[in-house]
Amino acid sequence: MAKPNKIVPINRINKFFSQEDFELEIEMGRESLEGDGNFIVILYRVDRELTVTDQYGEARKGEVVYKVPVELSVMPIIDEAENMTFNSGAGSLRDLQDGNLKFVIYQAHLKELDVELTFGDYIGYPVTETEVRFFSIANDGIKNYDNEHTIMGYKGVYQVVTCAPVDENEFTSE
Amino acid sequence: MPKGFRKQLKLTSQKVGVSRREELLHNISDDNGFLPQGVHIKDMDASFVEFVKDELKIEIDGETVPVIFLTIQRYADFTKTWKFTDDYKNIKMPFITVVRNPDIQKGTNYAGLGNIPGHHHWSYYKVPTNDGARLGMDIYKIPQPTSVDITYEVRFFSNKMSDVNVIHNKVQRTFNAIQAYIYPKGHFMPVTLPTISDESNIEDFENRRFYVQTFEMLLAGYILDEEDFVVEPSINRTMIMNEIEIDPNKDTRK
Repeated sequence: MAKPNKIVPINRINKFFSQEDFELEIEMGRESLEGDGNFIVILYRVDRELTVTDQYGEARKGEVVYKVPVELSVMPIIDEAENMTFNSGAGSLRDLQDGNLKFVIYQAHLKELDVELTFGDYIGYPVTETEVRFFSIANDGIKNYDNEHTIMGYKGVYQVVTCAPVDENEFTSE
Repeated sequence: MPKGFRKQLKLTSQKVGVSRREELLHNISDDNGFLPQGVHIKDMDASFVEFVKDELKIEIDGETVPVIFLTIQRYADFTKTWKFTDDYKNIKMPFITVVRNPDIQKGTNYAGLGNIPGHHHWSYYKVPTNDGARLGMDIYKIPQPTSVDITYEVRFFSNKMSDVNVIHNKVQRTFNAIQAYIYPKGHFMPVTLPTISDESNIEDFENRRFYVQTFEMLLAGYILDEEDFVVEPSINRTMIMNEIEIDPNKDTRK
């Protein structure tokens, strides 16, 4: 990522949209998402120094060490669980696989919490009061400067994070 | 560990030579009198699953990896896996599955040769008989077994590369002499490993990913149906009676 030493002013659409307008839009959006929606996921950032791995860099259950969990206010989209089979050729051994979890999160929220999403980190989504399903971040959505993720092309506002389900023997928060 | 330490003590001596051959013959007949035990496809299936459970047994994280023989009935699917499932009745990795290909091919147990035409029965054993008056012999006959080739797909599922190493280590060592053996009902049958393939679900970064290693194993077995066994009475001890009449008036002297 090229980061010039000089600060380059963003003057796009400045005739009718300013930085103040941009921040106002974000504030209103965040009020709706965080204040009204109040959907919370838990971010488990893997401690890559303390986590015990084998020579392949893989950890077993209980060997993943994570930093202090962080609650994130997001807009979650959970795909429907897919009824599949492990033995696809023989059509046997059912596997009701969790769908992917996608969530929308404001960059300003991450900045406030001073956390960064990294692919491979784990996300817990409490489906009930007593059960949390775990996912692994597959796409942290950090490249959010395409048209869809900006306000009228001004600047990136939010990230769409894609997470894939993980097995119990890979990660639980216990 | 001290030098000369023995892990296993042989409490019973192993038979060799003629005694071993008699033992093998006994294993084949078992409780079936003088005839061998019949062997059917279901016996080979059961024996193959035992082979996978015993000879390819592996432990990961201190737990024996379960082996599940799968068919198509959903109820059976759940019945066999419920002990290893999570709250959503999904089986937990790692595990091994065994699927038998439904199509059973003509056998290669006789090096690709067929049976002798005519469905003959062949003498297997001669059993002495005694009906109270005469000693005799029954001949026990059996047909030539019908050789069959059965293909089993043994799959190993895991999400750790180190687990994949464990199963490959076990399989390669088991088959390092080209073939291993199963012995349904005492009949020794060879199992070979024609192909090993990889069906891992790892191509999609944004999906659940795990390793699947497929070991295609070929059993060169045979069917021997006990309904086809024949017991035929053979020759009895022959009694030859001669009656001799002597004429007292006739002088036989010369």
